[in-house]
Amino acid sequence: MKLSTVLRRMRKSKLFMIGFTLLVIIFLVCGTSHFWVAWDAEQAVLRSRLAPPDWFANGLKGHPLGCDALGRDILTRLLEGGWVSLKITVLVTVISMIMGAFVGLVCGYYGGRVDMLVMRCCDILQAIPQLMLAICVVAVMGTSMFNLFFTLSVTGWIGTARLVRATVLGMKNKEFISASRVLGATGKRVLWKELFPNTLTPLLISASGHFGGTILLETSLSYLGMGVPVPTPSWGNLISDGRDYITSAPWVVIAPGIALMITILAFNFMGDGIRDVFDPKNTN
Amino acid sequence: MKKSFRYPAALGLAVIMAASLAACGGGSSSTTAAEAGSGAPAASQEAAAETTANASHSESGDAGRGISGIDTYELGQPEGWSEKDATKKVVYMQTQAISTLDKWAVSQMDTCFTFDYLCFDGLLSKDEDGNTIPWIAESYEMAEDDSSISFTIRDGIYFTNGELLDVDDCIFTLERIRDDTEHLPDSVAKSWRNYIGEIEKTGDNSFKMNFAKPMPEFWTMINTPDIQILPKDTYEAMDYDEFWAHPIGTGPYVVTNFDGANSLIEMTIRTDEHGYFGYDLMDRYTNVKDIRIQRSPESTTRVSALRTGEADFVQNLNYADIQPVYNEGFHTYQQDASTQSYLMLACGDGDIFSNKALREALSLCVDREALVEALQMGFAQVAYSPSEAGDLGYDPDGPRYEYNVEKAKELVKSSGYSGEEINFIYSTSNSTAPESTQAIQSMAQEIGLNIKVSPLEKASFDEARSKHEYDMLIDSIGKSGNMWYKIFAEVIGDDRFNSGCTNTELLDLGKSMQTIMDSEKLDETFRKMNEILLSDFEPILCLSRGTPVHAWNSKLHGIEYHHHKIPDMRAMVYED
Amino acid sequence: MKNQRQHIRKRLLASVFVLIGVTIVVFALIRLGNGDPAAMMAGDLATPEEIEDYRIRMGLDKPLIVQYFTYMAGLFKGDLGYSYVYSMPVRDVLAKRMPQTLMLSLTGFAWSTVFSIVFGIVAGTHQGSGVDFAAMFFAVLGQAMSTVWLGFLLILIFGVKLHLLPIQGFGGIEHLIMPGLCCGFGQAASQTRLMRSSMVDVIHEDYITATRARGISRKVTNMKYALRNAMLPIVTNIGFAFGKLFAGSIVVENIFNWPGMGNLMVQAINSRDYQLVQSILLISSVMLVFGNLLADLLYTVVDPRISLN
Repeated sequence: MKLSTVLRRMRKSKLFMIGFTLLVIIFLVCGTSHFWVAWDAEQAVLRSRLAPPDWFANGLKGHPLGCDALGRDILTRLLEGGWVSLKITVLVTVISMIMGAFVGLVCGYYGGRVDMLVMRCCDILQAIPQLMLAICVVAVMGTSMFNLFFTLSVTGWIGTARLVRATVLGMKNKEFISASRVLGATGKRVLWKELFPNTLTPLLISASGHFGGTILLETSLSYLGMGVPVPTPSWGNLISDGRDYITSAPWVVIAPGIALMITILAFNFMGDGIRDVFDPKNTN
Repeated sequence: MKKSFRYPAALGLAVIMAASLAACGGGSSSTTAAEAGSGAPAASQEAAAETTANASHSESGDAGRGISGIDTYELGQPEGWSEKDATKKVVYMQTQAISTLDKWAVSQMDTCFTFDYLCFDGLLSKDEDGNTIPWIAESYEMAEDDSSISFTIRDGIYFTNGELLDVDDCIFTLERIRDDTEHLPDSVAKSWRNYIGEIEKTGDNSFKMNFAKPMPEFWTMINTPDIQILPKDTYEAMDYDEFWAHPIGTGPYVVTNFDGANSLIEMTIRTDEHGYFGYDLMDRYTNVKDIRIQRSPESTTRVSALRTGEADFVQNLNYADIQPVYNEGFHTYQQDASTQSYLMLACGDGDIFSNKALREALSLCVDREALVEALQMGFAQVAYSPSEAGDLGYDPDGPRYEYNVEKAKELVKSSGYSGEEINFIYSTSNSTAPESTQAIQSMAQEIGLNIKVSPLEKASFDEARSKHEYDMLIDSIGKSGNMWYKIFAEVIGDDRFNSGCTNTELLDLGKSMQTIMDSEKLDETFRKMNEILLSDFEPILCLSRGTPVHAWNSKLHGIEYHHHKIPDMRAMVYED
Repeated sequence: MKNQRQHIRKRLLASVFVLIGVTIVVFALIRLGNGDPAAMMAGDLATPEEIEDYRIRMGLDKPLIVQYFTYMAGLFKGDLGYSYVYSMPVRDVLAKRMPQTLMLSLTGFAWSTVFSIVFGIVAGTHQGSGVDFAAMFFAVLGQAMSTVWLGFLLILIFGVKLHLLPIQGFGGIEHLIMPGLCCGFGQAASQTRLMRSSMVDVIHEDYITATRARGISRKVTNMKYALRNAMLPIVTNIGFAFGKLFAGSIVVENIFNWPGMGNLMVQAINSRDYQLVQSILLISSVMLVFGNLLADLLYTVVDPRISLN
């Protein structure tokens, strides 16, 4: 599909535009927060412990969304935590896509024993529920950002690999491949020049759906204390922090919850939009 | 299809946000937590602060903080009372798991001392004020040289299966702890096993126990339900698992159901002809027929259960719940300090904290009062020194931990510290640690120390600690029974947690404690150790002492704590 | 028919191999990390000799291969090992906790299945109406809700603000409502959408139009002909959902302090209770694999046109 077609369809797709715009706003706000928030996300100020929100009465110098149990400004932690969660989500998705694409291409094209072995391993890994596997991995490796990346990526690439492999298998016997080989193209060339570009579409669709799942998994892990290590904020962390104070200071939990919901909605809208853009029945 | 997405989603968002903000608005009107949390720190006079910390035991309680006064309900045994008159039921919810009823079979964390009071008795016991009183042993005498102790056993004590208690049962119980290595692992039973030597029967109702080696903690352990006297003949006739599913003791209650996986014990009052000897001895009685002890790890659940009546007595309230529960008419009880939280510094050669100036700076920059006030809402004692009033080693005129940020900053500058990352580890099973560590990290940051907090789950934490893979850690240790001894003699003396401490004077003092049984000498040794701890700031820095608050239905009377951490529920009276 | 049986047999065999692979992965994984269960059981102040004594007691001094085969041999006899934290056989521990998890997940599964099918059908057959509107809104919103957030939102509204339901814990029906709702929410949302779009797609198929043209009423057409075909993707989805019965409840159990297997698993990992963790992971994987098999089977059963070559 031509790039211009894709872009035109994207612009016309209301779903995509809403999701995309929302995400751009969220990314910008969270990404630049470091420069304009008034407080430190990790510095405890015991005096302001559980201060209720003052809703911009004092502007940014006050506590628009209140403070958490250690007196840290929630708005600051919300934005910085959001940036942490978003960074993780995007990076993990990219890594999963790359790993999945690579494995899928190799297995799909070369087939044989390698394919069988890798697919059996995938079966085994997929037989263990994702969250449980993640908890186990983090428990034995310890809680750290690197371990979190590792865990999320390890459990994330399998679906993509299967998808890419299926796509490759579907294309393997088509004429243009045979034609290339007749012209003397080596395996690697065929892979890169012919097969890979055709996997981009399913990859993109898979990626857009992957974001939502990744951020949900990261939230669950952080909530259980096995994700982003304290005191670095992340939305899952924030909800977990506020859990003991839900009756006395609910704003600690509400802020990250709503932020999370809006972000996932945005990702889902964008994902649905992309699926529509590449839908063969689309006539735009 | 696409069009119908936008509106519902937008609507949905609006509805959810409105609902949440409404809920949120409700929250901001309950300012109790926020107000209390941002309250002024405790009095600056340290001595005054120390005494007010113990104000909870005053007659009238402390209504301003939600602590009830002392219960004055009449508890003496009425004429002609017997166990068969008991009709009520009490449900107690605690935090600890209960995986077995034989407390010597598993490590300390899962034992249920509360159960032991109800089912068994020990040689000695405690009165209301915590003083040691004779119990199963009518009299006792320690040898001049502390090498052995003789007990004379009381007559007329019956097990719940009708068997009469005699000297052989006592000797058997002690020998079981010493010799049964199959069921009782060394690491658990060692607190008695290493010390019980030869036991000789010296008469029809007396025996003498020789100490294999000096046992400094003897006096603090013998009067708790540590050694539960077992019926020798019955025990030997039954299978181990069979006995412990329905254990037989001399206590007032018998087990009807024990569910280890769900940490639940159900008991009913004994109805044999002999009854419980303790009621006459204590001049007490009970009208509670059934008791249920169960685990409920979340404080909010326990408090809800108390409010709905599902539970009559709950352990360990969340600080924010104490005042509300008190206001609702429940009886709240602030227990004596039972745990001490402390920082341990890796202070061996080559460690960052081998530098005394840095250690002192760290101790000076931690505002212990603010921590207690903010994180525990004042429901904990500030540890101005390792020993508190009433403990061995307490010196009312001795040195204290100070709070001085300026001095701390100077010390850091003069110490030559160049910003190296300090690895601060804690165990995620420690529920107060996440907040304390982050607060301490911030306080240290103010004086220029670069601390990185690493939460580790228990297994990894234990391993890191034993391998000396930390610069500082936070932990708490029990303060009752023999744990107090342990921290000085073993943790410090033997450097059990591998801090690398090179202070030979301190270590020698700690080791020497392992062989002293005389209280006065122990007090003196403790004092000397405290002096060093407060001048050299190694290897531990004490922070605060937890004084958990428990609550029960105000119609429930007779629960005793004996200035200890274990509730004694033997003689409860439940009003209608 | 014969093809079907052969197919099932093949899949069963493959599943068994996968599960054996799972046991190896799980066994290795949990032993890889740091943290010594013997040290944990022996207690904080244990000496190295006491820890070693515990290690022998727990059978951890034997070589890994021996430990693995001992565990596997036990499995075939129905013995899931011994939990040192609970001082009882793993099977007994699980027997006490599994019913609670099942109660929770089956509630979630039941309500989400019924709700999503009914809602989806009505929405699909009344495209563009208010019901359709509501269904899509519910689906979109539901898929954006993290279980963590949903749980606390429910607690805030029904527990804290309205004081209608208990915040946490296990008890009667009132304790089951919120966690059960949480458990099934995601599934309900995505399945509603699937049912609806499946219904919409099928209704627009030629053979349905042909049926209508023959004069058969709309209602009968939908119920008799369209539904059967629309159910295809749903049925496989249900199979998958069934497979997630055990695994899906970890977070919900944590939020509501529900005494089930999810909570048990987190505690067991933290105390390095090897055999308990292995068994929980294995059981969850068995359910997952079984769910996939079920989905596969249901698919072939519901659509007789599917050939198995």
